[in-house]
Amino acid sequence: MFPVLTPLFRWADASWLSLEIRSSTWQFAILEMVHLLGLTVLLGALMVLDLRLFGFGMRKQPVSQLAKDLAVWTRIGLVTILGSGVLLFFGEPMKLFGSPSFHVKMLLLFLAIVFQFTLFRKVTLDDNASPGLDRVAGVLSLCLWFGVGLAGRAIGFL
Amino acid sequence: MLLKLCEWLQDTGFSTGIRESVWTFPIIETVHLLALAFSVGIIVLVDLRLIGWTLRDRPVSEVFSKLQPMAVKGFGINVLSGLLLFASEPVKCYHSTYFLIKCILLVFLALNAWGFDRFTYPSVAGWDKAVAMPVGAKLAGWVSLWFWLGVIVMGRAIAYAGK
Repeated sequence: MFPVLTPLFRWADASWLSLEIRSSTWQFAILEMVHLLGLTVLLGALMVLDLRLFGFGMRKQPVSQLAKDLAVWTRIGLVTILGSGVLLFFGEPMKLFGSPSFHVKMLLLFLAIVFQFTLFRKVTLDDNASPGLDRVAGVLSLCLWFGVGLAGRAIGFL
Repeated sequence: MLLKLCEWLQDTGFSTGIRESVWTFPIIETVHLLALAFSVGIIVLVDLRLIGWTLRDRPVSEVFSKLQPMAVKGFGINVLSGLLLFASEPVKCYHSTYFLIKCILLVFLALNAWGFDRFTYPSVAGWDKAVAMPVGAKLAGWVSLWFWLGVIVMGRAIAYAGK
């Protein structure tokens, strides 16, 4: 990752929070569980919206209405997964510092969040967007978020 | 008897193959994990509709008929990948309390779904667009939400067994 971030990882590694999280196996495990619950809610809500962009599922409702209805659950999922994610980071900063999977995950996460709150938001709130644009937005959303999940799981294996 | 069966399964070439290959186990585990989005993720939304917390302006029957088939397909991926994961380390699962709890929760979830389908859903026409959901629907939704949460937590805990 950027060399400029090295002090951040060192600082996190030496912090009180890091020592606290590492002090027992179960603290890390519980954070992983919360992280998974966040993933379920976030990706579940996004999936329903993405599939709607392809014309599957909640078809009787305009895309914009569905997007508004699901927004609160997307946000609850996002806050849960980011909060637990930051704490998981504090649980093993130096391991993550040297993990290519983590670097890829952070890059994809950054892109996914930017996309989510700019282009994706614009397309889903505009019911006059062309079906082609809807599909492109759906594919990008699926690829980015599942990419984040895939890279995240890879941290444990690679 | 059950242990013998697990030991036999663990010694088959199929089980050893998944367990000892570099990529097969991680790939199946990743599929099992990401399929959560399609199975439990969508079931959660249906449950939230049942307790009246989301998609309130849509009839329950519409949410059900549109989302249930997707959730079932997603759950199919979870069942299949889950069976493969079990087959790769049945003896570990046999000794894991978390695995046992996960299975029991899944049985209760099946009963909950069956009960809802049999006793509550047939009267859906009467409360399809109601502001307040009937007790039976709320109960089924809450039980499902909490038990699925338990399934995910226990599923993650299996990996920590013996640590």
